[in-house]
Amino acid sequence: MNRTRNENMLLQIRGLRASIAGKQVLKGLDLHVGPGEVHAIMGPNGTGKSTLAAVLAGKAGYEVEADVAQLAGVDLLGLEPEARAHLGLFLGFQYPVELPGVNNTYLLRAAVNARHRALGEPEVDAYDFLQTIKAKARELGFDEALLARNVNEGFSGGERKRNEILQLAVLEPSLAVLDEIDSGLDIDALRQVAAGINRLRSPQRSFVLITHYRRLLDYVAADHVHVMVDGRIAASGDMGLVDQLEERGYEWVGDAQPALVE
Amino acid sequence: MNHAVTIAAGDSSTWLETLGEQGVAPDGAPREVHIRLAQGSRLTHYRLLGPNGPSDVADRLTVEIGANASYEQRMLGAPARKFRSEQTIRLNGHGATATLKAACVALPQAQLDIDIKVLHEADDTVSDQRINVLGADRGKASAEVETQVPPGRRGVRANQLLRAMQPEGKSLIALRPRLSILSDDVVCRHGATTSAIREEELHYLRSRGIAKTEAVTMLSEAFLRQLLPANEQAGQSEVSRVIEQVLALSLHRDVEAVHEA
Repeated sequence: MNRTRNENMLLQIRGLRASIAGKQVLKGLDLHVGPGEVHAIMGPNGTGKSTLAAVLAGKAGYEVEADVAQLAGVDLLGLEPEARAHLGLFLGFQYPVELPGVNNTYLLRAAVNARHRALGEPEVDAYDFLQTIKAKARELGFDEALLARNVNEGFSGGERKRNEILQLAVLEPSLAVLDEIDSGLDIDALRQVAAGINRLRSPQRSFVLITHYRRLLDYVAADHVHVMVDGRIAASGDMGLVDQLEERGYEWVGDAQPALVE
Repeated sequence: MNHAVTIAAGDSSTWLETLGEQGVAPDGAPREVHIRLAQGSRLTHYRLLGPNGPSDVADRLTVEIGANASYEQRMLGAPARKFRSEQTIRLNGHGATATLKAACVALPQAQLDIDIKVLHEADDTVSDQRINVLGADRGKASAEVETQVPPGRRGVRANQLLRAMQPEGKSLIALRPRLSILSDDVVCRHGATTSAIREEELHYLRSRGIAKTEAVTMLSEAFLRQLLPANEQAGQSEVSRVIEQVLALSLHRDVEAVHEA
């Protein structure tokens, strides 16, 4: 992506390189996300999309370097994962883990209070918080019963993804990176998750949607669409790029790259 | 030092036993507890020992479960120094059931030993034994569970699952699930696992803004809570209150140990 560095960008990534177990996965990735923008990152399997999400969130085990990697003007790479969350980054997991024994409401309140402490704000009142998250669940059309259950324990694939959206709604990040939030969803669950994303869009919140297929983008219109190939953004465009991918697959992207880059 | 408890036929009771109130006898002998459940009776037995209890606790528990009677034990053990519990559970009436769930914490420099024998002496009896041991740095624990099914028994079902988690530091934990099955009409499962905290779970919590030490404590507590009654299940505010107190004391000390490590 050739967009020049812009101080108003929420997320600025330039020359991001990441390796795991000696294998380089990200090979100089550039990505710039402005406030309120929705970016879709598509691409075939094994091109580094999930690695990008993991590296942004600070997952251990990767060797990471970048010329620039900033969220809201703060260098990300030197921060612990929890500090990145306090800064406003949210990762929606492709496979949200089960946490038997950890209650959903307890986790959410602990997460909100951790952020409040980091920002020097008072902790939330337990009763008020419960009312708040119940209201959020209702707004999103989600079953309030999710709140009383342990995190993802015994959840269906759809419930897990809905739970990720509920966490996003409660934690109110400035940037949400959703890694294949559409995988494993039936059509009704996909519509509900997409409606949740649309409801949470705002000028103060940006999204990076990582997906293989256009079906999520039929419900959530992206401002920018990127295609990852071999650890880099190989092409960028608008929603028209999605139509071309649908027609021609991913193989042509490398050849067509110059014409498609913004 | 000895206790005898009898649950009459058809009765249903709950017993909150705070272990260590009487510790060991002056001669070093363990405290003896004998429970007898008559036909069709039911007992929910909470056994709680926290790090604020005496430093040396030992007990010997015998439970006899009559026909169609049901015994459920929920134990939370986190001794400050030493705790040994020997238990013999006899399912001696047709259709008797026993459920034993123990959440244990081997605190720094503490030693905890649990030795349970479950004897299926009647037909169509069911037992389920689960023990979770959380090992703090320099803590020691052993859990030995033996299920015996003598010859000629029919329709017996038995489960054993022993799990240990070692969040950080070095603890010494021995898990020994044993089966002695001498009948054919038996369905048994048993297993033992030892693990550290899973990196994926830790990353998930940290990605939500929870600091590493707090995340470790949260996952440690969750590991224990899996075998403890939920507050609404406990049905008694006193049980919940003591469980919360013991958990808070135990995990606070555990977190300190992690910090020291």
